[in-house]
Amino acid sequence: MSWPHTVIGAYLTQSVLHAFVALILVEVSFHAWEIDDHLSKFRYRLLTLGLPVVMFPLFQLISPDRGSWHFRLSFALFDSQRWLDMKVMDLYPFSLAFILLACGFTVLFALQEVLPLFRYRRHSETEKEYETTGEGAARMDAVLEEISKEAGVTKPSSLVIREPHPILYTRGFRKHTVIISGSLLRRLNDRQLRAALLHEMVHIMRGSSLKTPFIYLLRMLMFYNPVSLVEFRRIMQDEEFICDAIATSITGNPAALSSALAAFYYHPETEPAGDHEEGLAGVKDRVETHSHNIMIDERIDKLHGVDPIVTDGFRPFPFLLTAAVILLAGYLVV
Amino acid sequence: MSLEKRFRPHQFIKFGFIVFVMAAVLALLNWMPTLIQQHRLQRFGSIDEVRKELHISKIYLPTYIPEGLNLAWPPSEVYAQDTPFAACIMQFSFRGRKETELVIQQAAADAPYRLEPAIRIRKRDAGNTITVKDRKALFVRGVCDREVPCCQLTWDEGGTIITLTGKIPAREIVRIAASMLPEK
Repeated sequence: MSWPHTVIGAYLTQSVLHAFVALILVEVSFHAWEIDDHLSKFRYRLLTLGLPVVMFPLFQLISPDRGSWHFRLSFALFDSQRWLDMKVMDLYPFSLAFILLACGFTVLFALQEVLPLFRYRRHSETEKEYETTGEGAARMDAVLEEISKEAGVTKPSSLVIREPHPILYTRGFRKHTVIISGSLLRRLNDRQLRAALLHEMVHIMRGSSLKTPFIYLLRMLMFYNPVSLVEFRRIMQDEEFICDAIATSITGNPAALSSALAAFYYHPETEPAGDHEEGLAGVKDRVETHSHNIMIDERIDKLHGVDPIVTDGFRPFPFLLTAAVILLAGYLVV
Repeated sequence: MSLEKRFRPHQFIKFGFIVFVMAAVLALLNWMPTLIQQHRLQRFGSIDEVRKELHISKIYLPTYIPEGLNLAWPPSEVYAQDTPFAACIMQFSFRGRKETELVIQQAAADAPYRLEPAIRIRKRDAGNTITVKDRKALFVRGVCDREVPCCQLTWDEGGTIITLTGKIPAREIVRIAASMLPEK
Protein backbone atom coordinates (compact mmCIF):
# COMPACT_ATOMS: atom_id res chain seq x y z
CA MET A 1 0.00 0.00 0.00
CA SER A 2 1.68 3.21 -1.13
CA TRP A 3 -0.66 6.05 -0.06
CA PRO A 4 0.91 6.44 3.43
CA HIS A 5 4.21 7.11 1.63
CA THR A 6 2.87 10.13 -0.24
CA VAL A 7 3.01 13.66 1.21
CA ILE A 8 -0.79 13.90 1.45
CA GLY A 9 -1.00 10.45 3.04
CA ALA A 10 1.70 11.38 5.55
CA TYR A 11 -0.11 14.64 6.38
CA LEU A 12 -3.43 12.88 6.91
CA THR A 13 -2.04 10.14 9.14
CA GLN A 14 0.32 12.36 11.08
CA SER A 15 -2.23 15.11 11.70
CA VAL A 16 -4.62 12.55 13.20
CA LEU A 17 -1.85 10.99 15.29
CA HIS A 18 -0.58 14.40 16.41
CA ALA A 19 -4.12 15.36 17.42
CA PHE A 20 -4.44 12.18 19.50
CA VAL A 21 -1.08 12.81 21.17
CA ALA A 22 -2.04 16.42 21.87
CA LEU A 23 -5.45 15.36 23.21
CA ILE A 24 -3.92 12.87 25.65
CA LEU A 25 -1.22 15.30 26.77
CA VAL A 26 -3.69 18.14 27.25
CA GLU A 27 -6.17 15.99 29.17
CA VAL A 28 -3.49 14.62 31.49
CA SER A 29 -2.09 18.13 31.85
CA PHE A 30 -5.36 19.20 33.44
CA HIS A 31 -4.74 16.52 36.04
CA ALA A 32 -1.02 17.20 36.45
CA TRP A 33 -1.28 20.99 36.65
CA GLU A 34 -4.55 20.76 38.66
CA ILE A 35 -6.46 22.87 36.16
CA ASP A 36 -10.17 23.28 36.88
CA ASP A 37 -11.00 26.64 35.34
CA HIS A 38 -12.47 26.74 31.87
CA LEU A 39 -10.43 29.74 30.79
CA SER A 40 -7.24 27.70 31.07
CA LYS A 41 -8.92 24.61 29.60
CA PHE A 42 -10.06 26.69 26.63
CA ARG A 43 -6.48 27.75 25.90
CA TYR A 44 -5.05 24.25 26.34
CA ARG A 45 -7.70 22.77 24.05
CA LEU A 46 -6.80 25.27 21.36
CA LEU A 47 -3.42 23.51 21.28
CA THR A 48 -5.16 20.22 20.46
CA LEU A 49 -7.20 21.83 17.73
CA GLY A 50 -4.57 24.13 16.23
CA LEU A 51 -1.17 22.46 16.50
CA PRO A 52 -1.96 19.34 14.40
CA VAL A 53 -2.88 21.61 11.47
CA VAL A 54 0.62 23.11 11.31
CA MET A 55 2.87 20.49 12.88
CA PHE A 56 3.57 18.35 9.80
CA PRO A 57 4.46 21.21 7.42
CA LEU A 58 6.45 22.94 10.14
CA PHE A 59 8.50 19.81 10.91
CA GLN A 60 9.09 19.09 7.23
CA LEU A 61 10.31 22.65 6.80
CA ILE A 62 12.69 22.40 9.74
CA SER A 63 13.86 18.88 8.95
CA PRO A 64 13.05 17.56 5.45
CA ASP A 65 14.61 14.18 6.34
CA ARG A 66 12.08 13.60 9.10
CA GLY A 67 9.89 11.48 6.83
CA SER A 68 12.76 9.29 5.60
CA TRP A 69 13.00 5.61 6.47
CA HIS A 70 16.26 6.38 8.26
CA PHE A 71 14.58 8.82 10.64
CA ARG A 72 11.65 6.47 11.16
CA LEU A 73 13.95 3.59 12.03
CA SER A 74 16.55 5.41 14.07
CA PHE A 75 14.80 8.30 15.84
CA ALA A 76 11.01 8.02 15.67
CA LEU A 77 9.13 7.15 18.82
CA PHE A 78 6.23 5.88 16.74
CA ASP A 79 6.20 5.10 13.02
CA SER A 80 2.66 4.95 11.62
CA GLN A 81 3.83 3.22 8.44
CA ARG A 82 4.71 0.10 10.43
CA TRP A 83 0.99 -0.34 11.10
CA LEU A 84 -0.39 1.04 7.86
CA ASP A 85 1.88 -1.14 5.69
CA MET A 86 1.01 -4.28 7.62
CA LYS A 87 -0.39 -6.90 5.28
CA VAL A 88 -2.62 -9.70 6.57
CA MET A 89 -4.04 -12.16 4.04
CA ASP A 90 -3.59 -9.81 1.07
CA LEU A 91 -5.29 -6.98 2.96
CA TYR A 92 -3.97 -3.91 4.71
CA PRO A 93 -6.33 -3.90 7.72
CA PHE A 94 -4.94 -0.85 9.53
CA SER A 95 -4.62 1.21 6.39
CA LEU A 96 -8.18 0.28 5.46
CA ALA A 97 -9.43 1.05 8.97
CA PHE A 98 -7.77 4.46 8.86
CA ILE A 99 -9.31 5.30 5.47
CA LEU A 100 -12.76 4.19 6.66
CA LEU A 101 -12.40 6.23 9.86
CA ALA A 102 -11.34 9.35 7.96
CA CYS A 103 -14.13 8.88 5.38
CA GLY A 104 -16.70 8.33 8.15
CA PHE A 105 -15.75 11.53 9.92
CA THR A 106 -15.67 13.42 6.62
CA VAL A 107 -19.27 12.32 5.95
CA LEU A 108 -20.21 13.32 9.49
CA PHE A 109 -18.58 16.71 8.96
CA ALA A 110 -20.46 17.18 5.70
CA LEU A 111 -23.78 16.27 7.33
CA GLN A 112 -23.23 18.28 10.50
CA GLU A 113 -21.42 21.35 9.29
CA VAL A 114 -21.55 21.76 5.50
CA LEU A 115 -25.09 20.70 4.69
CA PRO A 116 -26.71 23.07 7.24
CA LEU A 117 -24.64 25.92 5.75
CA PHE A 118 -26.02 25.20 2.25
CA ARG A 119 -29.54 24.88 3.61
CA TYR A 120 -29.15 28.16 5.47
CA ARG A 121 -27.82 29.88 2.32
CA ARG A 122 -30.64 28.58 0.16
CA HIS A 123 -33.14 29.57 2.83
CA SER A 124 -31.72 33.10 3.21
CA GLU A 125 -31.73 33.59 -0.59
CA THR A 126 -35.41 32.77 -0.88
CA GLU A 127 -36.79 34.49 2.19
CA LYS A 128 -35.86 36.77 5.04
CA GLU A 129 -33.82 35.12 7.78
CA TYR A 130 -36.33 35.88 10.47
CA GLU A 131 -39.52 37.84 10.78
CA THR A 132 -38.93 40.60 13.29
CA THR A 133 -41.43 41.92 15.76
CA GLY A 134 -41.46 45.16 17.72
CA GLU A 135 -43.00 43.43 20.70
CA GLY A 136 -40.72 43.73 23.75
CA ALA A 137 -38.14 45.82 21.87
CA ALA A 138 -38.37 48.68 24.36
CA ARG A 139 -37.81 46.28 27.26
CA MET A 140 -34.77 44.79 25.54
CA ASP A 141 -33.39 48.24 24.86
CA ALA A 142 -33.78 49.32 28.47
CA VAL A 143 -32.06 46.22 29.89
CA LEU A 144 -29.24 46.42 27.33
CA GLU A 145 -28.73 50.11 28.14
CA GLU A 146 -28.40 49.31 31.83
CA ILE A 147 -26.02 46.36 31.55
CA SER A 148 -23.85 48.02 28.88
CA LYS A 149 -23.15 50.81 31.33
CA GLU A 150 -22.45 48.28 34.06
CA ALA A 151 -20.08 46.24 31.90
CA GLY A 152 -18.48 49.32 30.33
CA VAL A 153 -19.12 48.34 26.71
CA THR A 154 -20.87 50.04 23.79
CA LYS A 155 -24.54 49.19 23.80
CA PRO A 156 -25.34 46.68 21.04
CA SER A 157 -28.49 46.96 18.99
CA SER A 158 -31.18 44.36 19.45
CA LEU A 159 -33.68 42.48 17.34
CA VAL A 160 -36.72 40.59 18.55
CA ILE A 161 -37.74 37.85 16.14
CA ARG A 162 -40.97 35.92 15.72
CA GLU A 163 -39.84 32.40 16.59
CA PRO A 164 -41.38 29.78 18.90
CA HIS A 165 -38.00 28.28 19.95
CA PRO A 166 -35.85 29.85 22.66
CA ILE A 167 -33.17 31.74 20.70
CA LEU A 168 -30.61 34.21 22.00
CA TYR A 169 -27.35 35.02 20.28
CA THR A 170 -25.12 37.89 19.25
CA ARG A 171 -23.97 38.55 15.70
CA GLY A 172 -21.62 41.05 14.11
CA PHE A 173 -17.90 41.74 14.43
CA ARG A 174 -17.68 45.46 15.15
CA LYS A 175 -21.31 46.44 15.47
CA HIS A 176 -23.02 43.80 17.49
CA THR A 177 -26.70 42.89 17.44
CA VAL A 178 -28.32 40.78 20.12
CA ILE A 179 -31.04 38.61 18.61
CA ILE A 180 -33.75 37.15 20.82
CA SER A 181 -36.90 35.23 20.05
CA GLY A 182 -40.17 36.82 21.16
CA SER A 183 -41.19 33.58 22.90
CA LEU A 184 -38.04 33.61 25.02
CA LEU A 185 -38.40 37.28 25.81
CA ARG A 186 -41.92 36.63 27.14
CA ARG A 187 -40.74 33.72 29.27
CA LEU A 188 -37.88 35.54 31.02
CA ASN A 189 -38.55 37.92 33.89
CA ASP A 190 -36.40 41.05 34.21
CA ARG A 191 -33.89 39.41 36.52
CA GLN A 192 -33.43 36.41 34.21
CA LEU A 193 -33.31 38.59 31.08
CA ARG A 194 -30.64 40.74 32.64
CA ALA A 195 -28.50 37.67 33.46
CA ALA A 196 -28.98 36.19 29.98
CA LEU A 197 -28.12 39.46 28.23
CA LEU A 198 -25.11 39.95 30.45
CA HIS A 199 -23.89 36.54 29.27
CA GLU A 200 -24.20 37.83 25.68
CA MET A 201 -22.39 41.01 26.69
CA VAL A 202 -19.49 38.92 27.99
CA HIS A 203 -19.33 37.22 24.57
CA ILE A 204 -18.98 40.71 23.03
CA MET A 205 -16.31 41.69 25.57
CA ARG A 206 -14.35 38.48 24.91
CA GLY A 207 -14.58 38.94 21.13
CA SER A 208 -16.31 35.57 20.68
CA SER A 209 -17.65 36.57 17.27
CA LEU A 210 -14.06 37.00 16.05
CA LYS A 211 -12.67 33.93 17.79
CA THR A 212 -15.39 31.51 16.76
CA PRO A 213 -14.83 31.73 12.96
CA PHE A 214 -11.10 31.17 13.51
CA ILE A 215 -11.75 28.13 15.69
CA TYR A 216 -14.30 26.91 13.15
CA LEU A 217 -11.70 27.29 10.39
CA LEU A 218 -9.31 25.04 12.32
CA ARG A 219 -12.11 22.50 12.68
CA MET A 220 -12.87 22.71 8.94
CA LEU A 221 -9.24 22.16 7.97
CA MET A 222 -9.25 18.95 9.99
CA PHE A 223 -12.64 17.76 8.68
CA TYR A 224 -11.51 14.09 8.66
CA ASN A 225 -10.08 14.18 12.16
CA PRO A 226 -12.18 12.69 15.00
CA VAL A 227 -10.19 14.55 17.66
CA SER A 228 -10.97 17.91 16.04
CA LEU A 229 -14.67 17.13 16.06
CA VAL A 230 -14.63 16.43 19.80
CA GLU A 231 -12.29 19.26 20.73
CA PHE A 232 -14.18 21.86 18.69
CA ARG A 233 -17.34 21.10 20.64
CA ARG A 234 -15.52 21.16 23.96
CA ILE A 235 -13.91 24.50 23.15
CA MET A 236 -17.31 25.94 22.31
CA GLN A 237 -18.65 24.56 25.61
CA ASP A 238 -15.69 26.04 27.51
CA GLU A 239 -16.49 29.42 25.94
CA GLU A 240 -20.06 29.19 27.29
CA PHE A 241 -18.82 28.18 30.76
CA ILE A 242 -16.37 31.10 30.77
CA CYS A 243 -19.08 33.59 29.81
CA ASP A 244 -21.43 32.13 32.45
CA ALA A 245 -18.74 32.48 35.11
CA ILE A 246 -17.88 36.07 34.17
CA ALA A 247 -21.55 37.09 33.90
CA THR A 248 -22.23 35.58 37.33
CA SER A 249 -19.21 37.30 38.85
CA ILE A 250 -20.63 40.66 37.61
CA THR A 251 -24.22 40.08 38.81
CA GLY A 252 -23.31 38.07 41.89
CA ASN A 253 -26.53 36.17 41.22
CA PRO A 254 -25.98 32.68 39.73
CA ALA A 255 -29.61 31.74 40.42
CA ALA A 256 -30.89 34.32 37.90
CA LEU A 257 -28.71 32.94 35.11
CA SER A 258 -29.46 29.31 35.95
CA SER A 259 -33.22 29.95 35.90
CA ALA A 260 -32.79 31.82 32.59
CA LEU A 261 -30.87 28.83 31.20
CA ALA A 262 -33.76 26.54 32.13
CA ALA A 263 -35.81 28.36 29.50
CA PHE A 264 -33.42 27.06 26.81
CA TYR A 265 -34.33 23.38 27.20
CA TYR A 266 -35.72 21.89 23.99
CA HIS A 267 -38.96 19.96 24.35
CA PRO A 268 -39.56 18.43 20.92
CA GLU A 269 -42.43 16.29 22.32
CA THR A 270 -44.45 19.48 22.87
CA GLU A 271 -44.08 20.57 19.22
CA PRO A 272 -46.77 19.87 16.63
CA ALA A 273 -46.40 16.41 15.00
CA GLY A 274 -45.70 17.89 11.55
CA ASP A 275 -42.57 19.68 12.84
CA HIS A 276 -40.72 16.45 13.57
CA GLU A 277 -38.22 15.13 11.05
CA GLU A 278 -38.53 11.45 10.15
CA GLY A 279 -35.86 8.78 9.60
CA LEU A 280 -32.15 9.62 9.84
CA ALA A 281 -32.80 13.37 10.07
CA GLY A 282 -35.16 12.68 12.97
CA VAL A 283 -32.51 10.63 14.79
CA LYS A 284 -29.97 13.41 14.19
CA ASP A 285 -32.42 15.98 15.59
CA ARG A 286 -33.14 13.86 18.66
CA VAL A 287 -29.41 13.35 19.34
CA GLU A 288 -28.77 17.08 18.95
CA THR A 289 -31.70 17.97 21.20
CA HIS A 290 -30.47 15.52 23.82
CA SER A 291 -26.89 16.86 23.74
CA HIS A 292 -28.21 20.44 23.85
CA ASN A 293 -30.23 19.64 26.97
CA ILE A 294 -27.26 17.87 28.58
CA MET A 295 -25.17 20.98 27.92
CA ILE A 296 -27.81 23.17 29.60
CA ASP A 297 -27.86 20.73 32.56
CA GLU A 298 -24.10 21.00 32.87
CA ARG A 299 -24.13 24.79 32.79
CA ILE A 300 -26.87 24.93 35.43
CA ASP A 301 -24.99 22.42 37.62
CA LYS A 302 -21.87 24.54 37.47
CA LEU A 303 -23.83 27.64 38.42
CA HIS A 304 -25.41 25.74 41.33
CA GLY A 305 -21.97 24.87 42.55
CA VAL A 306 -22.26 21.08 42.02
CA ASP A 307 -19.16 21.36 39.86
CA PRO A 308 -17.85 24.76 40.92
CA ILE A 309 -15.87 26.93 38.53
CA VAL A 310 -12.50 27.40 40.19
CA THR A 311 -10.57 30.36 38.89
CA ASP A 312 -6.98 29.48 39.71
CA GLY A 313 -5.63 31.80 37.06
CA PHE A 314 -3.82 30.94 33.87
CA ARG A 315 -0.19 29.95 34.37
CA PRO A 316 1.91 30.49 31.25
CA PHE A 317 4.89 28.29 32.17
CA PRO A 318 2.98 24.98 32.49
CA PHE A 319 1.08 25.94 29.33
CA LEU A 320 4.28 26.54 27.36
CA LEU A 321 5.84 23.37 28.76
CA THR A 322 2.79 21.35 27.65
CA ALA A 323 2.90 22.95 24.19
CA ALA A 324 6.64 22.17 23.92
CA VAL A 325 6.08 18.53 24.90
CA ILE A 326 3.26 18.22 22.33
CA LEU A 327 5.57 19.61 19.64
CA LEU A 328 8.44 17.33 20.65
CA ALA A 329 6.22 14.24 20.82
CA GLY A 330 4.68 15.21 17.48
CA TYR A 331 8.12 15.53 15.93
CA LEU A 332 8.91 11.97 16.97
CA VAL A 333 5.56 10.57 15.82
CA VAL A 334 5.79 10.03 12.05
CA MET B 1 -0.79 34.96 42.46
CA SER B 2 1.27 33.52 45.29
CA LEU B 3 4.64 31.86 44.76
CA GLU B 4 3.11 28.64 46.01
CA LYS B 5 0.57 28.81 43.17
CA ARG B 6 3.19 29.61 40.57
CA PHE B 7 5.60 26.78 41.29
CA ARG B 8 4.48 23.43 42.60
CA PRO B 9 7.21 20.78 42.32
CA HIS B 10 4.82 17.83 42.68
CA GLN B 11 2.93 19.01 39.59
CA PHE B 12 6.12 18.95 37.51
CA ILE B 13 6.94 15.47 38.81
CA LYS B 14 3.43 14.31 37.90
CA PHE B 15 3.66 15.87 34.44
CA GLY B 16 7.11 14.35 33.87
CA PHE B 17 5.85 10.92 34.89
CA ILE B 18 2.86 11.19 32.55
CA VAL B 19 5.12 12.19 29.64
CA PHE B 20 7.41 9.25 30.42
CA VAL B 21 4.46 6.80 30.47
CA MET B 22 3.18 8.19 27.19
CA ALA B 23 6.60 7.84 25.54
CA ALA B 24 6.80 4.25 26.80
CA VAL B 25 3.33 3.43 25.40
CA LEU B 26 4.26 4.93 22.02
CA ALA B 27 7.51 2.95 21.95
CA LEU B 28 5.57 -0.22 22.78
CA LEU B 29 3.05 0.47 20.01
CA ASN B 30 5.95 1.05 17.64
CA TRP B 31 7.52 -2.27 18.56
CA MET B 32 4.35 -4.39 18.32
CA PRO B 33 4.19 -4.62 14.49
CA THR B 34 7.63 -6.25 14.46
CA LEU B 35 6.11 -9.15 16.42
CA ILE B 36 3.31 -9.58 13.93
CA GLN B 37 5.28 -8.98 10.75
CA GLN B 38 8.92 -9.88 10.82
CA HIS B 39 11.43 -9.15 8.08
CA ARG B 40 10.40 -5.52 7.77
CA LEU B 41 13.11 -2.90 7.36
CA GLN B 42 15.54 -3.18 10.26
CA ARG B 43 19.18 -2.74 11.09
CA PHE B 44 21.54 -5.71 10.88
CA GLY B 45 25.02 -6.20 12.29
CA SER B 46 26.50 -7.46 9.03
CA ILE B 47 25.79 -8.61 5.48
CA ASP B 48 26.12 -12.25 6.63
CA GLU B 49 23.37 -11.65 9.15
CA VAL B 50 21.11 -10.34 6.37
CA ARG B 51 21.84 -13.41 4.25
CA LYS B 52 21.07 -15.69 7.19
CA GLU B 53 17.84 -14.05 8.31
CA LEU B 54 16.22 -12.80 5.11
CA HIS B 55 15.47 -14.42 1.78
CA ILE B 56 17.03 -11.87 -0.55
CA SER B 57 18.09 -13.87 -3.58
CA LYS B 58 21.24 -11.88 -4.32
CA ILE B 59 23.05 -9.15 -2.49
CA TYR B 60 25.36 -7.13 -4.74
CA LEU B 61 28.59 -6.31 -2.94
CA PRO B 62 31.48 -4.16 -4.18
CA THR B 63 34.84 -5.85 -4.56
CA TYR B 64 36.56 -2.50 -5.02
CA ILE B 65 36.69 0.15 -2.33
CA PRO B 66 39.10 2.98 -3.23
CA GLU B 67 42.11 2.92 -0.90
CA GLY B 68 42.86 6.59 -1.13
CA LEU B 69 39.43 7.72 0.05
CA ASN B 70 39.77 6.14 3.50
CA LEU B 71 36.33 4.49 3.20
CA ALA B 72 35.86 1.84 5.86
CA TRP B 73 34.95 -1.76 5.08
CA PRO B 74 32.65 -3.42 6.17
CA PRO B 75 29.76 -0.95 5.87
CA SER B 76 29.13 1.04 9.01
CA GLU B 77 25.38 0.43 8.83
CA VAL B 78 23.38 -2.30 7.09
CA TYR B 79 19.58 -2.24 6.73
CA ALA B 80 17.45 -4.78 4.93
CA GLN B 81 13.91 -6.05 4.51
CA ASP B 82 11.95 -8.87 2.90
CA THR B 83 8.52 -7.25 3.39
CA PRO B 84 6.79 -5.51 1.63
CA PHE B 85 9.58 -5.86 -0.96
CA ALA B 86 13.19 -7.04 -0.90
CA ALA B 87 15.72 -4.30 -0.22
CA CYS B 88 19.21 -3.98 1.22
CA ILE B 89 20.98 -0.75 2.13
CA MET B 90 24.66 -0.41 2.99
CA GLN B 91 26.05 2.82 4.37
CA PHE B 92 29.76 3.54 4.36
CA SER B 93 31.67 6.21 6.23
CA PHE B 94 35.27 7.33 6.35
CA ARG B 95 37.45 5.57 8.93
CA GLY B 96 37.13 7.21 12.33
CA ARG B 97 34.13 9.30 11.26
CA LYS B 98 30.41 8.80 11.64
CA GLU B 99 29.01 10.70 8.69
CA THR B 100 27.78 8.56 5.80
CA GLU B 101 29.83 9.14 2.62
CA LEU B 102 28.53 6.37 0.37
CA VAL B 103 25.23 4.51 0.21
CA ILE B 104 24.72 1.37 -1.85
CA GLN B 105 21.18 0.19 -2.01
CA GLN B 106 19.27 -2.40 -3.92
CA ALA B 107 15.50 -2.79 -4.09
CA ALA B 108 12.99 -4.76 -6.13
CA ALA B 109 12.12 -2.91 -9.35
CA ASP B 110 8.38 -3.38 -8.71
CA ALA B 111 8.54 -1.80 -5.22
CA PRO B 112 5.44 0.33 -4.51
CA TYR B 113 7.55 3.15 -3.10
CA ARG B 114 11.18 4.27 -3.05
CA LEU B 115 13.51 4.08 -0.09
CA GLU B 116 15.31 7.40 -0.38
CA PRO B 117 19.06 7.15 0.33
CA ALA B 118 20.34 8.60 3.60
CA ILE B 119 22.54 10.93 1.52
CA ARG B 120 20.04 13.48 0.27
CA ILE B 121 20.71 15.22 -3.03
CA ARG B 122 19.36 18.77 -2.66
CA LYS B 123 20.03 20.00 -6.19
CA ARG B 124 20.56 17.70 -9.14
CA ASP B 125 21.22 17.97 -12.87
CA ALA B 126 19.11 16.18 -15.50
CA GLY B 127 21.58 13.31 -15.58
CA ASN B 128 23.03 11.35 -18.47
CA THR B 129 23.17 7.71 -19.45
CA ILE B 130 26.50 5.94 -19.15
CA THR B 131 27.52 2.33 -19.64
CA VAL B 132 28.80 0.25 -16.76
CA LYS B 133 29.90 -3.23 -17.82
CA ASP B 134 27.41 -3.20 -20.70
CA ARG B 135 24.54 -1.99 -18.48
CA LYS B 136 22.90 1.33 -19.17
CA ALA B 137 22.95 3.41 -16.02
CA LEU B 138 21.69 6.90 -15.16
CA PHE B 139 24.40 9.13 -13.78
CA VAL B 140 23.35 12.27 -11.88
CA ARG B 141 25.55 15.01 -10.44
CA GLY B 142 24.23 17.14 -7.65
CA VAL B 143 24.77 19.01 -4.42
CA CYS B 144 24.12 17.42 -1.04
CA ASP B 145 23.80 18.84 2.48
CA ARG B 146 26.23 21.64 3.40
CA GLU B 147 26.77 22.30 -0.31
CA VAL B 148 28.96 19.19 -0.70
CA PRO B 149 29.14 17.94 -4.32
CA CYS B 150 27.79 14.42 -4.71
CA CYS B 151 26.61 12.03 -7.40
CA GLN B 152 24.31 9.10 -7.97
CA LEU B 153 24.37 6.10 -10.27
CA THR B 154 21.28 3.93 -10.87
CA TRP B 155 20.54 0.93 -13.06
CA ASP B 156 18.24 -2.06 -13.31
CA GLU B 157 20.06 -5.32 -12.71
CA GLY B 158 17.58 -7.98 -13.83
CA GLY B 159 14.63 -6.70 -11.79
CA THR B 160 16.66 -5.17 -8.99
CA ILE B 161 17.27 -1.43 -8.94
CA ILE B 162 20.77 -0.70 -7.69
CA THR B 163 21.60 2.84 -6.58
CA LEU B 164 24.92 4.23 -5.45
CA THR B 165 24.89 7.67 -3.88
CA GLY B 166 28.08 9.21 -2.61
CA LYS B 167 29.97 12.31 -1.67
CA ILE B 168 33.03 10.86 -3.40
CA PRO B 169 34.47 11.54 -6.89
CA ALA B 170 32.29 10.42 -9.82
CA ARG B 171 34.91 8.13 -11.33
CA GLU B 172 35.17 6.23 -8.03
CA ILE B 173 31.41 5.73 -7.89
CA VAL B 174 31.56 4.22 -11.39
CA ARG B 175 34.48 1.98 -10.43
CA ILE B 176 32.71 0.74 -7.31
CA ALA B 177 29.56 0.07 -9.36
CA ALA B 178 31.54 -1.89 -11.93
CA SER B 179 33.11 -4.00 -9.19
CA MET B 180 29.66 -5.12 -8.04
CA LEU B 181 28.74 -6.65 -11.38
CA PRO B 182 29.70 -9.83 -13.18
CA GLU B 183 30.61 -9.55 -16.86
CA LYS B 184 27.60 -9.87 -19.17
